[in-house]
Amino acid sequence: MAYISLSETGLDPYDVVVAGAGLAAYALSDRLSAAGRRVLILETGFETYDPEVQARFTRMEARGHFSSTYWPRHWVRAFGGTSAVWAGYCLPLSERNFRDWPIGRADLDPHYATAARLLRRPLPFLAYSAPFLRGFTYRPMSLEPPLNLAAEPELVTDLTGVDIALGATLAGLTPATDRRSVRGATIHLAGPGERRDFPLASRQRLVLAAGGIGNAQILLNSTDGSSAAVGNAADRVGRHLMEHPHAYDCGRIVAGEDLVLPDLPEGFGFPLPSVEPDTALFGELGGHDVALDLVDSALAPEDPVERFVAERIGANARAFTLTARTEMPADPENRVTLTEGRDPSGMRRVRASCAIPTEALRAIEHCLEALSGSLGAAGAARLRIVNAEIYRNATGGGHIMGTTRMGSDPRDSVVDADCRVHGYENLFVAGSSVFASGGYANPTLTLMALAARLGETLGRAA
Amino acid sequence: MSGTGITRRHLLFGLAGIGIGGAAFGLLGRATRAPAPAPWVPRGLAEDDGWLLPPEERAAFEAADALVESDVFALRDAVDLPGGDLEALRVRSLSECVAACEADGRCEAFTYARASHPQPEKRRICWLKSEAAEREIAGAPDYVSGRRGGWGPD
Ligand SMILES: Cc1cc2nc3c(=O)[nH]c(=O)nc-3n(C[C@H](O)[C@H](O)[C@H](O)COP(=O)(O)OP(=O)(O)OC[C@H]3O[C@@H](n4cnc5c(N)ncnc54)[C@H](O)[C@@H]3O)c2cc1C
Repeated sequence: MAYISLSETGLDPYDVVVAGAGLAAYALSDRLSAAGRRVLILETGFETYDPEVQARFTRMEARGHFSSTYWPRHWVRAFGGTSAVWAGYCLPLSERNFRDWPIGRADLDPHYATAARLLRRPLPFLAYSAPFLRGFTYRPMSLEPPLNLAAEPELVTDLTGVDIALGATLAGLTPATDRRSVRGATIHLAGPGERRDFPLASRQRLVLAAGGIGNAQILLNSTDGSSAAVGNAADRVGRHLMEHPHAYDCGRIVAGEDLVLPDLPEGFGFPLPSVEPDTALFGELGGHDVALDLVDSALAPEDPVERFVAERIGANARAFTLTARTEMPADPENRVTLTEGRDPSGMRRVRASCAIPTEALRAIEHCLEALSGSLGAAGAARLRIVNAEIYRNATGGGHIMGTTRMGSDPRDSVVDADCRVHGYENLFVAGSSVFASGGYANPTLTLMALAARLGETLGRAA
Repeated sequence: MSGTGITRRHLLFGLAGIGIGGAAFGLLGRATRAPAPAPWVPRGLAEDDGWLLPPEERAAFEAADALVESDVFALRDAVDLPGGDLEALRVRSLSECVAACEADGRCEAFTYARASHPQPEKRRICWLKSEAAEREIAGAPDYVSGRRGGWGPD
């Protein structure tokens, strides 16, 4: 039985203590377990989802394009975390998406394979891409069924050396006097309903894997009020909050049979057909990455223009609906801060302020214009831009990134290239909160690759 | 269209103002159901449908909404005829609508909604009518209507 009561065991038996039991924690623990480490995962929630727990722990304030219910709906507080609701779209970041990072795609490549294996994906999607029309690259996502840890808890509980404390919320960290390590953790225990302080020895590592909001919340709360919170000496924690603006159904294509998507390699699995700008067009878009999903769709004769276009193309005309995902530049003013009130663990609640910048939306529009031009040049095909879906209805994808960003300069980032909180030898972060720039690709595969990489590093460390 | 004198508003809005104001007064003059739109809202402007078409294709598409002549029907531009519907057909052009009414012995009148209609579901719908209501709604540039026996005195 991997579930333990923290009041009985304490933290002492463990090499690594992890806050949060989502997919980041899974990838991390898998690697630590393989290296023979003893791991304790602290998780606010329980084996089954409890809406009361969800409401009381995630209530927050928000301004900008994302409302105060947006973030809590995308941050599940139960064993398995947000894996209970995610959609399973997977694609690695490409080299150009690591623009603001101190590491590159090659650093993550072996770990992408680990993450894909844990998510039960055939591997070809990791490396596949093909030229497609002028200005574009065909780069479909992997769309296998989403792994839901809440439905398969044994994936975590069966890992050798890994224990789990449910109803346990990491509510604060105590820095050592020299501020070069964390020497204690305050943990709220739902059973007795109280906060307890647990000492941490310097050999013990602590990893925050509490989600993009949760990781920032823990750090921002780790202060006695007399000095900067842990990791926040440069006032960077919570800043650079990013999403992936999605413009659903923001375009249509009607094309003849000469529009053929490139063949996929053997064993690709289930693809989401998707194109991205090639290097030249990416430059023209000002370095904003965009993906356009081409989803087969029935012709819509109720739109007289679509009917007109389809009839000119002929009996073989077919339609695609386009959905765009785009990159949001890291802006320090898009951020999570602490606000009034406390959650049940005693941590101060958070407030998110996050606005989608116009340039992210323009990149979608320009990408659609370019695709229209290339389609027209290649054969009989016409494209429609649905303006309101881009400029009025764009929303996020539940991808919470950037709040503890990675960088080599401690003045402008929170963790280093090893996901270690600058200056603290035993404190690390796992999750999309470390993303320094977000590309357009859904983040989970990448955050699991980063967590697997961290697991291997910590597994090797004495 | 009922004649209206040149008012201060026409002077303020220039030529467009006359067209706009004229349409509004035409509407008021017939005491129809719909309240008169504010005179400063331009009429007959279509929402951009978002399709990126080469100019000659766009012109061919729009040509299907242009007024046509008919030996059988008296057509009126910018007029909607409410009620009396036999059938609503999805058509490609005004002439297809005229032909459909012509071919149907029960069809006394029709109303055609242009592709510029603000409600997407009405675009290029052709309503065949058994009897045309006496009331007509004028000043509605997204519509064309026709009656088999002409329109009678205004
Ligand atoms: C509707 C939806 C669809 C999505 N679709 C996709 C997709 O198709 N592809 C994709 O890549 N991504 C998708 N995502 C995003 C994906 O779900 C997340 O990136 C991923 O699940 C995050 O994993 P995580 O382990 O970092 O965090 P989480 O899964 O959020 O886990 C954090 C865990 O930490 C716990 N916790 C929080 N604070 C504390 C604390 N202080 N102490 C102890 N425990 C704590 C929480 O209870 C939770 O269990 C989607 C998200 C949503 C909401």
